[in-house]
Amino acid sequence: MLDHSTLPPTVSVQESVPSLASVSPPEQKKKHRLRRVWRGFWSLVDWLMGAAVLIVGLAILAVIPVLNFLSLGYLIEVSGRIARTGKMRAGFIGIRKASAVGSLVAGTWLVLLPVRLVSGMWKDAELIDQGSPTAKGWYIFLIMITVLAAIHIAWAAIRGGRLRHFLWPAPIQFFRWMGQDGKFTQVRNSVLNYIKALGLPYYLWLGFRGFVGAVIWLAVPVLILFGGAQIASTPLAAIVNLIGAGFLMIAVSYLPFMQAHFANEGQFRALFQVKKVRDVFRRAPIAFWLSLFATLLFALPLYILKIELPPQDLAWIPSVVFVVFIFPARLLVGWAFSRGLRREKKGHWIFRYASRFAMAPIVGAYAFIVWLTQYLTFNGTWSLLEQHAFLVPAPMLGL
Amino acid sequence: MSVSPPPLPLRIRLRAALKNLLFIGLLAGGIGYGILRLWEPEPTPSVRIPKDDVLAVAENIDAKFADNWAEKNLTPIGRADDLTVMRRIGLALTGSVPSLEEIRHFEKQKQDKKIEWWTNRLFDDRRTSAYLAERFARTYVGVEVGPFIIYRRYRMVSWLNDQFFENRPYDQLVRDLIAAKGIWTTHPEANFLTVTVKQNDDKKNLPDPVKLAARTYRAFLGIRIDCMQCHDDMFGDRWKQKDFHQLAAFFSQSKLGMNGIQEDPKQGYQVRYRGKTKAVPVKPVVPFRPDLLPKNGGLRERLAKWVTNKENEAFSRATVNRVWALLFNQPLVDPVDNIPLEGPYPPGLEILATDFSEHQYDLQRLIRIIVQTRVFQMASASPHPETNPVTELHEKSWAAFPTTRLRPEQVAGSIIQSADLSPIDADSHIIKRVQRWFQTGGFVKRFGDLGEDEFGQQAGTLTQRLLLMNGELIKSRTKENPFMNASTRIGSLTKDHGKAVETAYLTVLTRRPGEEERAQFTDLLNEKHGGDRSRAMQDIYWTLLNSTEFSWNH
Repeated sequence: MLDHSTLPPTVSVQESVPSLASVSPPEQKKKHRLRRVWRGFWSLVDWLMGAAVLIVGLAILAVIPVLNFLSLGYLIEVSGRIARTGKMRAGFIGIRKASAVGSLVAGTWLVLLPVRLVSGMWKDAELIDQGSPTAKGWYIFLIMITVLAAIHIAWAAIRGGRLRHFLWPAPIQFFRWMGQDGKFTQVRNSVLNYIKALGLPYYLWLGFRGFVGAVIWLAVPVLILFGGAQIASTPLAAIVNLIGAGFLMIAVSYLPFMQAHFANEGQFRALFQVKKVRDVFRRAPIAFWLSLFATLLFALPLYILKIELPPQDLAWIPSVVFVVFIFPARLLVGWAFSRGLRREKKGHWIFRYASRFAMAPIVGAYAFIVWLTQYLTFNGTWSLLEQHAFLVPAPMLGL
Repeated sequence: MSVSPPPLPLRIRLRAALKNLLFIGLLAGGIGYGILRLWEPEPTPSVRIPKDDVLAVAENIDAKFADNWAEKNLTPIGRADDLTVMRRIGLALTGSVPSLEEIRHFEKQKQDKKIEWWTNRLFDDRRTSAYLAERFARTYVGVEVGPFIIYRRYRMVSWLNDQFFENRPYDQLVRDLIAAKGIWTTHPEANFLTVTVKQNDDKKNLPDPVKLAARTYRAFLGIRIDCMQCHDDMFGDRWKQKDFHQLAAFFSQSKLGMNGIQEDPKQGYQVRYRGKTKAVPVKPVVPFRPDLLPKNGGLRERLAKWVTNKENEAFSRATVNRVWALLFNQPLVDPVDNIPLEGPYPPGLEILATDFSEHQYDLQRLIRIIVQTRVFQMASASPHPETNPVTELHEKSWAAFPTTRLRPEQVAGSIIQSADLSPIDADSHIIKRVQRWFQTGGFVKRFGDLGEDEFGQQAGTLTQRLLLMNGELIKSRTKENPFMNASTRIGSLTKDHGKAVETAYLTVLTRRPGEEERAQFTDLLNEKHGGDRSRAMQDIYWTLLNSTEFSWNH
């Protein structure tokens, strides 16, 4: 987990590389290639692990009150970075850092497994025969194994927190490190620097503003639909619902791009600069249409998972589905927006109008499905407030 | 001569101090959290001292029963031991036997506080509200799958779970059910009506007033007059066909609109009475105490208020009888939903019904009173069978605790719980909870669900016996598995054979073994070590789970 550059030289992990002088040129080239392939393979594994950890991490954050702004902030930033740089790969933010966290979490979990087992054995031994020699024996063993596990976890984290550090305690290195001066300051600095590098306040603030902006955009249509659900008269309810759905269609046509524009500009008022976004749309109408289609389509699976609620401690599992689907949608929105920003000319009028017309059935179908969800999802009409395509899986739950 | 370095500026020192503080805070928080997770502290259930009036009401009921026994010249059997009473309460409120951990805590309580402590503990436990929700849901909506989309049973059970956990006054809950409006997901109580909707028939997706009237009579008034749907009462003149349909007429304006269940004053209700040739419009009229029916409001709102009116004693009696049945597995008035309006009533019913209505229809208070009565704490087997044997009259008069078969989910819940030394509750690992959910469902399916007929006593079948002896559940919960099964853990964590046998008895049967039992099973463990001892523990567990005692509430 920790930044190697901040660690003392004796702690940094050196790769064991054979001396190049002892290898002849053709062999040297072959070795280089093999080493590159080997490193590339592990880099890929590391990247994939980082992506998995990131998805699960965002999913867990998305169901924790207040911290869910971090999750939303990250997803908005994904669109913003691509819009700013024009590169899709810029949207994969912090994958390597996530991999480090994943290693640390997985390693800690592994080390704690035997501790948990011993803890369970001690507890059961106490239940079977309180104060018996067997129970006392397990108690002493539990203290020992807890202390050892704590030291092992701390030492593995200090060395970098990768899985290999948890598998081998490197005792000689540990005693050498113990003899050094200024350990506390080094460890403290590296931990704090890592946390600082995560940019949590930035994402939290971005997510909060993105949330507020989206709520302003969605408030009118959602409240109309919500109000429509309270009307007993079917004809009147139908009219109110149609009006609400109409407003919702307009809001969802703009909102993903307004959020991308906001992330690109970094200013709250950007969330309402409709003219600017329309201008960008004209330059990449088909890309906009495609990304809107993906955003709305990818929002649907989570509605299916909302039909029944899982237990509270498994609430993050549907949230994983949310991240898996919404993340690519945010990438596409960023990509579409960057295309619009980088083109100087407007698209041909045929494409512009065709895209506009093609948007209508998509947003119409989406508004219909959103309206329908109140009859299907566990929270009924309240689920209208959970616009997870633009917010987090359950913003009200989170707050 | 050494020169001390100049002191750092205050700003830098403050920043460093802040950094240290933050770091130490993070470290301490992380370690503290880890330790808390690993060293689960002993649960400290809220201990509420029983209110004097709860005990006073229980004593009042005891006195009534004592008079009744004296009249019948019956000698009551005597009090059951504490652990037996604990087991009964656990089975009634959570659907499973108590865990060893709960038994240990129970035994640490003061003698006169044990029952109160246990009931309080269970009222704080989501297992209780979840179990009660499922039992009551069977009364309200049955066990059928119901109409597609518009009926969400699990949603309703989840809502009931919350209501029972919060101990919402029962009259309010019933009013919500009868007068429910809105979409079945947003207003889960509306499922009480939507379950009766017949889809694709000529009634245009309307809730069925006939079914709703039958459920209202049975569930909330304790009156079974389903037959009066077609004819007058053939065994008396108390109930007429019109009594049934006039109550059904209160549901006649309900319809299913865009926004769920709504009322349409234009809708009416017509019935062709027996012996008549033409259907006639039926006005909504309550079958008794018309003075309690409010003049204003929607039809169902008025009916809901009439049903739950404090002076409508039928409502309190019906609820008391049902709660009594949940605790004893046998109602005070049998069948549970057929209580005569004018009596006579068994001892205790009127006292409990009055107390229930006078205390805001507090279900938890009602349960507290019943479990404190002498009747509930009565033994089921006589300590002196030669001089005072348990007779049928004893059981019918509640002079002995009636022995009844465990319900299928109680058998499954108890098998699963007895394979763990700690309670499998909301704090248990999610894997254990998910496993319990799947195993219970699978077992009940094979064992045979009793369905809506909650308290119909059924004889055990050969299939059920075989399922207990050779079924997958018992096999998987008794086999050698140090991570999941108590039998293996007990075998490995105590070398004392007597202690191992005693622990197995406590975990499975919630009692200690008798001298003979202890000697018999200790012999089985003697001279056995390692795998042989573990297998012997499996055999002991299997034997206890297959004992008749395990499958009965006694």
